[in-house]
Amino acid sequence: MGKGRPFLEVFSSALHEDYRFPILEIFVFLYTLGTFVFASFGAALSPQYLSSEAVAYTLTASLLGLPLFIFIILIFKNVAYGLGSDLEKGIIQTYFSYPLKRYRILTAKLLSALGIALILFLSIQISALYVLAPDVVSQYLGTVLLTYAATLSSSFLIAGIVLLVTLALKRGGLALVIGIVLFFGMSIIGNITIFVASSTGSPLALQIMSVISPNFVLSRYHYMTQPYVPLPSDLWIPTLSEVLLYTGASYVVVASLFFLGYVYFSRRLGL
Amino acid sequence: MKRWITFLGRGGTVLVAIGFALLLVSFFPSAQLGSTGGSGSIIPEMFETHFERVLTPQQGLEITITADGTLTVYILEVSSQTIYNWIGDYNNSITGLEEFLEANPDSIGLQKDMSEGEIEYIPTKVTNATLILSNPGSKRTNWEFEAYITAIIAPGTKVRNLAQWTIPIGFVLALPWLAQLWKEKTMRTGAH
Repeated sequence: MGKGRPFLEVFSSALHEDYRFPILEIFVFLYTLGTFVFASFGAALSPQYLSSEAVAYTLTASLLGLPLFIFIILIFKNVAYGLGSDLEKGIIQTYFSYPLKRYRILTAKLLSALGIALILFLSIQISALYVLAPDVVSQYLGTVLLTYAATLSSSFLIAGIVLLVTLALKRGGLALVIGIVLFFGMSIIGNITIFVASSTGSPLALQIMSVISPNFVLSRYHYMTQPYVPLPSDLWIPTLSEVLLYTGASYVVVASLFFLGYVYFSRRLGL
Repeated sequence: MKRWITFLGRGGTVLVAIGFALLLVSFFPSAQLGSTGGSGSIIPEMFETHFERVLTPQQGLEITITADGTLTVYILEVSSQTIYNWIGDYNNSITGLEEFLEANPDSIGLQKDMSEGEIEYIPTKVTNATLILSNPGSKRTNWEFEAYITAIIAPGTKVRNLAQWTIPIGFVLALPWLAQLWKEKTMRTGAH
């Protein structure tokens, strides 16, 4: 028996646990409905934004409120509750008897918990956006994808923390609560950052925040000429290269957290 | 085999869930944001611009037109100023308009020859929308129109058509899995 078959066994078992009927269908229904209900062209109504990639950014960013929260809930449920209860009930120990390295078991679990959820979230939202505004999405697909990458980075960061807490505590309840608190805490910290940057007139706070939440640098890049942002317009005008740099840096932070999770699961997890 | 049935079945139920969400979206009523209208007449071989606004894919334009002759109704995705600047004068000659359209075919959002009826236009991007009535005939034509701007969540017809495909396909894919689930359930009940 090759290594592929046990991996698929663990993966299909994780899928079965994470997406019991009709959980997957309910989330898919909410993603689809949420995309249309929350889509907004907001600031694009003024003529100077016509044919601008800011329209694509505004439209995509408008979807990343409640639908993103629904996505986060699904991820936290899968990582904290799913993996946590597997650790608690001893199911993970059963997997250890498979001819598979530990890191492959964690990969199968994360592929189900995060990978499938992400594929569903992105494919449904981008397809729905295409139905709604085909010319905007096809013309500025790069902007749409960059907006998703920048916004989802902080969600993955929290998911990484939730994973570490779940592995450390070997149960998911507390990790789930920590994840939700962190999700809302990030919004509060974000607002404080804007306030600090505005009052000190220094972009340092925004730049630090952009490393863990690159949506800040992206919003500065797109909204730099808009008057309603409570920041001086010349405070920080990032270039596209800076946006890509901060987004890349944020994913390095996320990858480091998951790497720590892998190391802990492979070597330190006392099971 | 059983795994494939489950895989396709869950794919099917996902499609059904997407279809029902689309169907629900298509039934959301539109809200009227504003209206405009007017009446007048166009002499042969001339055109008139009547309405101009920036619209988004979540804003539709419903126009009811009544005329005593055939008019060509255009909704162009440019401002009237762009048209006049291109033509180079304000004579409103149909020749200038046709030359503009020939050079800028992408600007035509909608084109219809009609004397009476309703048209609906929903843009696929954030764009200017300019209503133009043109009289290609040989006699003066009297017209009257009313235009309503509506707010929509999604283009209803497009979304409903998608739902009409995804729901049956989803059911077909899910049927073997649902049958298997039902069989397992009845066998379990019988065993007890």
